[in-house]
Amino acid sequence: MSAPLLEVVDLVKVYALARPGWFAPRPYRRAVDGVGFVIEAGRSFGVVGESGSGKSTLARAVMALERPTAGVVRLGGRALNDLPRRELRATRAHIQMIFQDPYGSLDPRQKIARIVAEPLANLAHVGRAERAGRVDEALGAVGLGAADAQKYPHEFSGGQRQRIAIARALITRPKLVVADEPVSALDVSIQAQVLNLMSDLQREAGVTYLFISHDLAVVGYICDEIAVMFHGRFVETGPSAALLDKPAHPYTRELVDAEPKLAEKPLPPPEPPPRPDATTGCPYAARCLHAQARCLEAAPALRPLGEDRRVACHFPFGG
Amino acid sequence: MLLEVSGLAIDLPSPAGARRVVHDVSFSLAAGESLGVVGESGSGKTMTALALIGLAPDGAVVSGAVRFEGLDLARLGEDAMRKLRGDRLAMIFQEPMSALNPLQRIGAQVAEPLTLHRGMTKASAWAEAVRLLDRVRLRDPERIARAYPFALSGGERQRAMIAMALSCAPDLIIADEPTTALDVTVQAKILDLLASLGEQSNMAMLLVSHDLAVIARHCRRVLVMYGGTIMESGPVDAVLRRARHPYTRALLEARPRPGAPRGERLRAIAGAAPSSASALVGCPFAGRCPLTLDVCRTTPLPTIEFEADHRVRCHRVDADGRLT
Repeated sequence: MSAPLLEVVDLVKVYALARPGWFAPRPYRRAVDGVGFVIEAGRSFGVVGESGSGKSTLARAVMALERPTAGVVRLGGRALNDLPRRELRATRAHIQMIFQDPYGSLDPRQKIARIVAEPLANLAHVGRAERAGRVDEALGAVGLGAADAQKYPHEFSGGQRQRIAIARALITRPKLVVADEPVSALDVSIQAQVLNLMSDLQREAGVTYLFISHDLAVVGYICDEIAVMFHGRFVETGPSAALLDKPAHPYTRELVDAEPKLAEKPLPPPEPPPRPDATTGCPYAARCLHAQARCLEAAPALRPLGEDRRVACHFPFGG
Repeated sequence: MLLEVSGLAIDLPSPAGARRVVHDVSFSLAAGESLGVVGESGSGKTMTALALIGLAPDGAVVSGAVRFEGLDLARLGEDAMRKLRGDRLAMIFQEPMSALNPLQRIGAQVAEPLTLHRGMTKASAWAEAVRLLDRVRLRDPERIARAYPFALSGGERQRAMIAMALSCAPDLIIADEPTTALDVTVQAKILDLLASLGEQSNMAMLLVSHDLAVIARHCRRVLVMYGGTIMESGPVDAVLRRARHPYTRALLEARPRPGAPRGERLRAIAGAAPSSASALVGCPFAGRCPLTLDVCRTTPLPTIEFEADHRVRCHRVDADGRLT
C-alpha cells in the first residue's frame, strides 16, 4: 500500500510565554498537543475550532513554516522535518497555502502576473516561456482572463482577489493546498463563488485540501472528513455528514448548536455551572454541560467510536 | 412609534463629487421591538445605523427625517444629541477594543454614563456598574470592574460594552455587528443575552449584521439592504420562508445548507456589489440579478406590499408577490 499524501503523527508545538515575574518559572503553552491524522490524495480534511484552539499553528506546522516540538509531518511518505533545506524548498512547491485576508496577502505594488508566478521561483526547472503559460492556465482555472495578468490587486474585488490567491496556490500544481479561513473575510454572495471554485478544482484537478475554519457549514460543504479541535487536541473526528448530524462530543454539539441557522430558533443553551479549569482532567470539562466526576480526574484519549469516527470523551453521545 | 425613519439618504464626499451611499430608506420600530438590518459590505447598513445616532462621518450629508420619541433627530443640535446618546439611545460596536478606553478601568467606563446622565455620585455609580457587569453575566464582576480592557477576553469585553450601553436603561440599542469578531459559541451567548435583556426592560433593538441567520435567530423583523437601498422587509418568518426579492433569495441560497449532499453546487451570485451608486436610477441589483430587464435599470423601484408588513422593492414582483 502506498503512503498517504499527508500523514501527521503525534504533532506537538509548545510556545514559551513571557515570565510573569523575574524569578517565576517560564510558562509554556501547548498550542498543538499530540495531534495525528492522514489525508489521502484527492480528499479534503477540515479542522474546525475556535480562536486559540491551535488550528492555525497546526496549518503552519504542516506547511513546515513552524518547527514542531515533537512529532512528524510526512508528505508522500517523506518526513518534512528531516529534509535538508534545499529539498525542503522543492518539497514546499507541493504544498501551497491560501490565507484568510485577500487584501493583505497580495502585494499591492506587483502586477497579478508576477504575484501569481511567485511560487514558481522555487522550482528551477520552470523557464520563462513556460512561466507565462502557467500563469494563464492558473488564472483560467479560477475564471480570470489573461488580460487580468497585467492589472494590480486594487483593481479587483474581494472575491476576485481570493481567486487570484487561489491561482497563485495552484500554479505549482501542488499536491496539497492548506487553506486557512479562505472565505471568512468574504461576503456571503462571494463566498459561494470561491467555495464552488474550490470544489470544482478538487473534482477536476484532484487537489487535496487541508481546510481550516471556524465555520461548520463551510467545512461541511468542502470536506470529506472533519476534525474538531479544542485546546490543541482533536476531540472528535469523522466523516463530515455523520459528525455534523450526530455529534458525539459535547463540544462538537456546542459548536453545532451555536451555529446560527435559518431553519429553526433553538433555545439558548443553559450556562454550565462554574468549575475550576481542570489541570488533570478533560480540557473541556469546565465548559461541559455533561461533565461528571471522572472528567475532572482523567483526560480522555481519542478512541474509536463506531465506523470511521474517533472521540475524546468519557461519556460520548451515542457511545 | 419609538423610531420612525423616512426618506433617509446619505451622501458622502468623494473626489468625483458626492456619492450617495444610502437611498430613500424608510422604516419604523416600536418600543421593545427587535429589527435586524442585513446586508453585505457596501449595502449601506452601517451608514444607516450611524446616521440614526448622529455619528455619520465628517462631511456626510444626511437628508430625510429620523424621529425618535417624537423628536426630529436631524434637527437636533450636537449638544442635545450628545445628551440623548448613551442615555435614551445606546450603541454597541463590532470591535469593543476600539470603543473602550484602554487606560481606564472597566468599572469606571461602565459608571461614566451614570454620573453623566443620571447625576450619580462616583461611589454609587461604581456599585451600579458592578451590578450591571453581573447582569451581563460576567463571572466575578468586582474583579472585572477593577480590570483594564486588555486583561479581558474578546467575549468579556463585548459583555462589558453591553453593560455600558445598558447602564442608563436606553429605549433603543443599536448593535452593529456586535459579535462578528467573536467565536460562534460566544456569539450565540452574547446575542441571546442581549435579546433577553431587551425583553426584560422593553428595550428596542436594531441589530446590524451581514449574517441573515444571526438576524433570523435574534430579531422579529428584518430589512434586507443592498447597494444602499432596502430591497425587502417584513417579519423574519415571512421574509425567510416566502422571500420574494431575487436578492434575498440569492442570499438564502448562497450559504451551504446543513445536511446538503456533498458537492452540491452553491448558488453563487455572479459579479460584485456596486461600489457606489451615485447615478442610480433603477435597481442597484440590476446586472447581477438573473431577472434583469431594461426597466430595472431605467425606472425607480416600486414598493410592493403583498402581505401584512411584508414589502418588496422590485420591478419583477407583482402585487401578489409573484414573479412577473
